[in-house]
Amino acid sequence: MITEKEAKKKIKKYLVIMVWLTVLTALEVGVVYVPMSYLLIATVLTLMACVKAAIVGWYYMHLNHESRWLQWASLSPLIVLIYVVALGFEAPTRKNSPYWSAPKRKVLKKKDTSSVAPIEKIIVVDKK
Amino acid sequence: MSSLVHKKKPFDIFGKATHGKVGMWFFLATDALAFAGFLIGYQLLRIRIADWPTPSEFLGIHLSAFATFLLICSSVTMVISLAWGETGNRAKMLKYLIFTALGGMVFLGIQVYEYQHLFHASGMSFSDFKYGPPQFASSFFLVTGFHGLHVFSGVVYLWIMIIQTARGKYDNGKINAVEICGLFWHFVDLVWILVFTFIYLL
Repeated sequence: MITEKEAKKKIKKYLVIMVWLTVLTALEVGVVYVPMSYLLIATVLTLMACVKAAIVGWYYMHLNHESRWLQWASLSPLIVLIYVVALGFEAPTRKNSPYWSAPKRKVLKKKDTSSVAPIEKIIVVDKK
Repeated sequence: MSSLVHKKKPFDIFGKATHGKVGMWFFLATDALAFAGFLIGYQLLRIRIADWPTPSEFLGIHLSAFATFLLICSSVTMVISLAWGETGNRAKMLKYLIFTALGGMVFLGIQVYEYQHLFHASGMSFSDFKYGPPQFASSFFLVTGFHGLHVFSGVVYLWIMIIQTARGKYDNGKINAVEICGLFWHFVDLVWILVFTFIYLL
């Protein structure tokens, strides 16, 4: 049991953290519209996401009150999550999109389906 | 002298964390691996397919950002509820637990609306996408759907805790079971933060 005063102190801390998380989310959305290179955007966004995830884990999931062993154990998925981050950086290098410079906005076009045979025709061909 | 030497039991390395809590942490670690697997699948598809769309042009970023904010809010109400639970204040604990569950339910509502909108506006379904490779749509629904399933189970879990709290099970301030539920709920929030970045923004 803790006293009401202690609980209120805790809640105040939680609310301050929430403000930080909200500010970071707003910044993340803003970053997408800044004409920067993909590399820079990816770096900033990944860093922000990691910071946010760490804040949630550390303060809200109370990792700050757990033993050193549990803290390290909770980091175990990083072994694979690092791969996710690495692929996120690599993805655009295989495409034609500019990686080091600011990209131009694409114009949407409807997918060209005229060259694709309708499914009925394929079925007829199979029967022959 | 020998009586002073404390022999460590296996779980002592996790300090004062209860067995249930340690179990939840390890479950969450494996669950994070599952999410990582899906995200890796998404990225690999993206690498192999040349005309992969820029997600921010098709997915409603502002709506998802609001959904992120909503999950953050529900995380806050969860910890506030735990803080009140520790004081033994049943009414306040219950109030914030219900806010948390409502946050999750509104999030699910937003997701349903978003899916419907994407289906009508961009022809996105598990197997089709009007403006590009269908793999974009299927991997998007796979990852966000798997997360939605977590939110759904989290909401069910929360309602179980709400019923137990309402019955006065946690009036003595021993709220370990609710803390474990909270761990799961925060994890859902944490994963969404990453999914939001990797699927919607990048």
